[in-house]
Amino acid sequence: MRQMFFFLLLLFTTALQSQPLFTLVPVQQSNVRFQNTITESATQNVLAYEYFYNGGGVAAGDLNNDGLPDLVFTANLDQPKIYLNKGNLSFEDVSNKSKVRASGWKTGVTIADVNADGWLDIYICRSGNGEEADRRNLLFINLQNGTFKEMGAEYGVDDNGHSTQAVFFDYDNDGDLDLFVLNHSIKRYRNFDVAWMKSARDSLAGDKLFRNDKGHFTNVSADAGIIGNPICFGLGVAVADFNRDGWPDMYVSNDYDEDDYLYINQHDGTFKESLASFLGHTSKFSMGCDVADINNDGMSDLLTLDMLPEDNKRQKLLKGPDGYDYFQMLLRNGYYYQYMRNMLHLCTQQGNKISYSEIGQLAGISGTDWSWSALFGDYDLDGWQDLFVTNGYMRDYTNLDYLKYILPDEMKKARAAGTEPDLYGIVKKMPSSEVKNYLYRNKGDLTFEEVSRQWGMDIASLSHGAAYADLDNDGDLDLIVNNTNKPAFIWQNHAEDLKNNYLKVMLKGNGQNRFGIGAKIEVSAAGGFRQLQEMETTHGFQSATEPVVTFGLGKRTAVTVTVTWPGGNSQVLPAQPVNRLLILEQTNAGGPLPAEKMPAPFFAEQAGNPPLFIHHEDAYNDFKREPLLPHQFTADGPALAAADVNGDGLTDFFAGAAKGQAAMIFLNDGKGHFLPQPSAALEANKSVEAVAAAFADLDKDGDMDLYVVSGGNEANFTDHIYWNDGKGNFSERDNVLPSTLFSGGSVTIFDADGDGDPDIFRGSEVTTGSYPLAPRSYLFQNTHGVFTDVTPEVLSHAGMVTASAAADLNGDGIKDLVVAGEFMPVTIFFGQNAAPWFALTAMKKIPGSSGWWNCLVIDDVDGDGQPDIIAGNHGMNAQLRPGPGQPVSVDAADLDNNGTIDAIISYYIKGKPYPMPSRDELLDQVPSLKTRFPTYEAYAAATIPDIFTPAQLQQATHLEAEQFHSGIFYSSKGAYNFIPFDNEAQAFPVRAILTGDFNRDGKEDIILAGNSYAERAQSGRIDAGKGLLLLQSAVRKFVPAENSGFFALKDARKLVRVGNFIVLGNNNDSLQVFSVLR
Amino acid sequence: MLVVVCLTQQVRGQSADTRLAAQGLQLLTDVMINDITSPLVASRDYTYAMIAYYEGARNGDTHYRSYAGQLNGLSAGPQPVKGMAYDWLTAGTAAFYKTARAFVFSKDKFDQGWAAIAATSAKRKIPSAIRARSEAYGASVADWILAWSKEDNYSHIRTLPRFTPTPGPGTWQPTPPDYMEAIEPYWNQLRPMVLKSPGEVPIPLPAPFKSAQFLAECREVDSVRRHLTPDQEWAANFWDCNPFATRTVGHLMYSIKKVSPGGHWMGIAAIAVKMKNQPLVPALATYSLVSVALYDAFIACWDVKFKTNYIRPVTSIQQLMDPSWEAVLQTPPFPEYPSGHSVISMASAVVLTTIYGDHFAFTDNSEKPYGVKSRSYSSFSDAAREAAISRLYGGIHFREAIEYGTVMGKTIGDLVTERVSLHIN
Repeated sequence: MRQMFFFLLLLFTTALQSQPLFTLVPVQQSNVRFQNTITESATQNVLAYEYFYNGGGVAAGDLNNDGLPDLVFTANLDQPKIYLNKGNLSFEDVSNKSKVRASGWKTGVTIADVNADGWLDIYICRSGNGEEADRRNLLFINLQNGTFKEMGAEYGVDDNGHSTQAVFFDYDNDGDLDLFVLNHSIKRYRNFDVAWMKSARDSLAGDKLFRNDKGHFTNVSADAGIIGNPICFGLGVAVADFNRDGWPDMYVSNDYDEDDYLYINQHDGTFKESLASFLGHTSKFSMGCDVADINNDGMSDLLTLDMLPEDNKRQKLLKGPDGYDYFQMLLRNGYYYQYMRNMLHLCTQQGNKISYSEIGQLAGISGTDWSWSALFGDYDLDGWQDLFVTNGYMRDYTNLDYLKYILPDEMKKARAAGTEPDLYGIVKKMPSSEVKNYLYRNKGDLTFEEVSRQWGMDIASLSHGAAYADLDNDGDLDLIVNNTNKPAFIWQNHAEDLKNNYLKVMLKGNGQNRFGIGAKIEVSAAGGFRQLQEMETTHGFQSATEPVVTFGLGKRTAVTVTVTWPGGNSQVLPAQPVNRLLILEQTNAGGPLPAEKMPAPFFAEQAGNPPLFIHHEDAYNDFKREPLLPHQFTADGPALAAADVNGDGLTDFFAGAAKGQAAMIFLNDGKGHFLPQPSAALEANKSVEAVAAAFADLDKDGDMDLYVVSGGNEANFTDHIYWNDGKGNFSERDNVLPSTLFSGGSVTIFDADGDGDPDIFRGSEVTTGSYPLAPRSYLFQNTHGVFTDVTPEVLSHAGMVTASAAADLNGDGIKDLVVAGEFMPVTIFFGQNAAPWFALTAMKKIPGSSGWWNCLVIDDVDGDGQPDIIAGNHGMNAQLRPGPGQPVSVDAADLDNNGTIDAIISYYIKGKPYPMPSRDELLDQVPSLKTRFPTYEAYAAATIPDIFTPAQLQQATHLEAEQFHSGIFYSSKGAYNFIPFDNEAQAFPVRAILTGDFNRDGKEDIILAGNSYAERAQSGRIDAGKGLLLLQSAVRKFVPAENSGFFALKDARKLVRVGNFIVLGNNNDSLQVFSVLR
Repeated sequence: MLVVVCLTQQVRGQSADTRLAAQGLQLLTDVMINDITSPLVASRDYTYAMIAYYEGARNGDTHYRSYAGQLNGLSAGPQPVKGMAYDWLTAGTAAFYKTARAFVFSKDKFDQGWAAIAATSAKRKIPSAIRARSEAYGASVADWILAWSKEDNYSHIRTLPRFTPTPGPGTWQPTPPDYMEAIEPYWNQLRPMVLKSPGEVPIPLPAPFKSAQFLAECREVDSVRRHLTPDQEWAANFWDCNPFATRTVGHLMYSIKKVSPGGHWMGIAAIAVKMKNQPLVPALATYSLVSVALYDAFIACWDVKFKTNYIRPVTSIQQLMDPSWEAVLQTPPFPEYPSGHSVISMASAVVLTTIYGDHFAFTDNSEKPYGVKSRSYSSFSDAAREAAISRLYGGIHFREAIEYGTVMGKTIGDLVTERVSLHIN
């Protein structure tokens, strides 16, 4: 008996410990039997109304003011359901009693106290292909007695559009709640090349803004600058102060080709769509969205969902976005950069400049399949906002085998039999794609960890609207999910087991905004902890949360709470105890907070109007020749190099140009200006792409000559030397430099042979037309200004070299050469004092360092007397990226014996390497593989050995990259210890590095710039780089400087220090010149 | 027992031989449709496969001579051993099977379809030694044709860059709904069959963009679109011949596959063969010669298409007149001038007319499997002229491209029939 007792105790304890964070509340306990039942018919189906499978919504809020959040569910076809919370996660269905009835096709639901009586009202959106009377949106006013009265028409909010969701907020800061209604078209337009449609207005498809005029709502959409065109496909809306000016702005997610909108509040009753001013790119088929401060910097970040599946099989089976030309066509017609994946836009601020960095891939949340609701919440109460995503689609109908083979066959069969094919009958046979919802834990370093299974959520479902609320009043966020053809999920959160602390905040507003909608609540605590939340009810997809914000606090036991009410008044409450609901009243608020003090900047950008120099990249497209390249090589440059070219004691600089444009020398006038110096010699060579350059006195006549590397990926890779006449006039000489035949990547001028004059290493980047075969790099030996090719074997085919630098690394008095590039390790060639100067026996490939390197700087960063290597890599904000033991690789061979190399990139997806190309892309390059992969299904599991025969694989060039992080190789007694930069610096390819002690504290600091626009149409441009100044706060410890004044928001390539200035070269954009202020 | 006898008799009859050849042709067409083979690649597949069939079986009729010496680069092929007996249907079928199979992508689908043909063939009572000898001969003919095909520059073309649309007024731009890349910009680098060069048949340049004539032609396309009669719409759909048209309903996208323009004319050739109850070798002569005309017509047409790089009606009308304008048919992805269907239809019609005469009335049911009702014509050129003008009805070509396309096709057809003589009188 005793033994039995202990056994049971043990069992009980184990069960407690292994209980996941979330458990499903059984229907028997909750009594919530709601499900969104979808029954298709000949007239009611996805072909008749394309948003037929989008599912229903849910709103949580305390409808009867008993302190417990109640639930409202919308079903598309059935009546809405209202459940009153009776405590202990038990609910009572009061749908009939409440008189909340709705015919027609219901979509989103939100809650707000529209009539400002302190009781939450319910607003239900409707759409569908039915009658207008069944489509008008409904406002149910809470009669405070358990019943509601529909008063949409009385209030003027019975919009007849095809609505998805609505949000009540005070856009004009006049104290009452206005209304934005998110609508969608029910017609599909395919002629999206017609710009006229973007400016047209469609009263049923277009979004609408209603101003609250003393209790009656007036449609002010057109006057307020709201876009209402027939190609609006609104699926998500989020209100937040995106530009941090104290006025609420709006983000609108649009499905399909139409851009998302970022409406910036103009403070005069109007909005200005400003997407391009704040975001580099967006989701393509944008769905639900949400806002939260994910990195605890006191600024709201934005997430939009899309359709990218996480696993290889579904990525290969399902239709992705269209090809390169289609994408370019959209751009030409005024559409923005949109790619099919979830986007996480991180708010960054420098001075008064706000800009969003898209880091979804770095964060690890970019693919969650066909996704609907995004809900940020600190589910484990550890002080970081986690993420919940719902997904699933009733018919898996973007399957490409259906598109190309199965459907056409069915149609043909029907037609041959003389009948019209029953498309709906065919669609009905398609399988349902039930997938699991996703939970991600915020790791606190800009990345998330998928914990769906670990936290107990591992049920496949078609889940749409979702809301969080503290249903059992234990302080943590429970989750409520509206499912199609399956009972709703009530997930009970057991964060109390983790013993983390929390604080819930509720607001009592003055006047007509009784729940303080739009207020900003920030908690902060010792140790630099801070987190911002904005009070809004509409969240996620077609859903709403209660007007309460929950802060997870980890082990913190006291926090300061700062509230900024709409209009700007504020209150600061220090030392607030935790684990309770804090109710704050606006009547107690004081004046506005003092403006946040920014540290003084380090740099100031020169206005440059007009810009000093604009680099114009020519329109060449590498993918036309090599469709399977991981990215283009054509968009290199501009080269930059600095020297005093005219001997006046002032540093001047050279800027390279792309094909068709002349490179230029800029003379420093000593008064803060750079004057362009035309040069006939440079003008004569404008058919090359000047991608790298260096100054040196090559003929030892006392002035600085210029070496310019020709690159790109088109043709004409001959480098040029421009000889200085001592006054800054340059000319070429015949027969002084052997021809360079491969596209160049780098140049390093150093005394390789120790004879006192400068020799030249020219790194070559790519073999045009034969990626990734190593191009030939060159070592040119200087004999009185005449150069001969003395390239040792070990250097000539070092790899695809993009970067090089020289210094005496081992202290033997001889210069050593460091070289890195794409699919290359960082390689050190130790110099020898006799020809061939470099040899295999004196070469060191730094172990584990193969990467996609872009740039190198040698500098003794930690001041230990041993030169370190600072290296810029591709970064981790990409689909293609290596993990430990999981390299990105390329295999290349002539698969179809047509004389061209077929290069297939592979990378790991969920633990296994798969080829990067889609079946269409692969078959475009190697048509004969159609025989091996007759269907998408046949290709969906293919790996490299299925594409290459054993014989081909044996002969193939195989290269790997194990490391995409940028960072520093610290030198210590001949060994190199790589320490990656923090994640801020891994969000973009680092293309340029500049070191210096910018804060004059005796320690080297580092400036990083980069990005990559010339990517594949599928993966899209990487533009998260905004320019980073990393200050070395302690030896080898770097922190990003706040308000550095250095903005590198473009496709940055090169950085050069020019006297008291820093010059930044951007590909296909203007040069930026910064004054160094300290 | 009776059934078996009947079958045997049928199989042994001349029309049964011809039927087997028609089945082979149909299988090739079906597999190419499944694989979404472009009209140009299809014309190449047809040509080599049908020449192989003809050459394999040709010795079965002493009135027919070889293509060797009559087509560019084709020297004499393998000869049957004198004094030995052959079954020429078996030889031709073997030559066709091996050649066609080498060209199609879905070899499994081709083999599946071939099983029925092979079964029919196996039922024929031929001594096994003769069967083996004939099959071996057919295979050697296939090897000869395949070796010849390898020198036509096709595999080199596969390695060239994809087409980049050039900006500028009046130039071709990708067209809705899918804005696909223009296909086969280097098709003029392919070795023609009888033409001395891809540009041997010159036609005038189209009207300058925005010229009075150009604007008039735009207005005509728009006006035809607005006043389209049911018969015109039927004709447009009948000659649509788009191997891959896409339809989109929300996120649901699907395709409608039809026989290519060349495949349609191979179908008409089969109708003529059937109506005339042609024996095997003359039937194969018809198929192969029509395919030769198609092949050269596409090369000559593509040469002009990518030299003129001319804008499509949908692009110009949207730019100049009505931004919401849509064509009846989906515009195929390549430049406008001249109309490919006009060139290849008239070239095929000339060849068929040379063989079967001018007043050859027929009902064309080639589009029935694709849901379009049959249409009747008084002659091959009557059908070709309708195929040509149907591109105006469909809103995908201007009149000039149709008229000069027809002229070009006529000349190419004439050159083919002049330069190739198969029948020994």
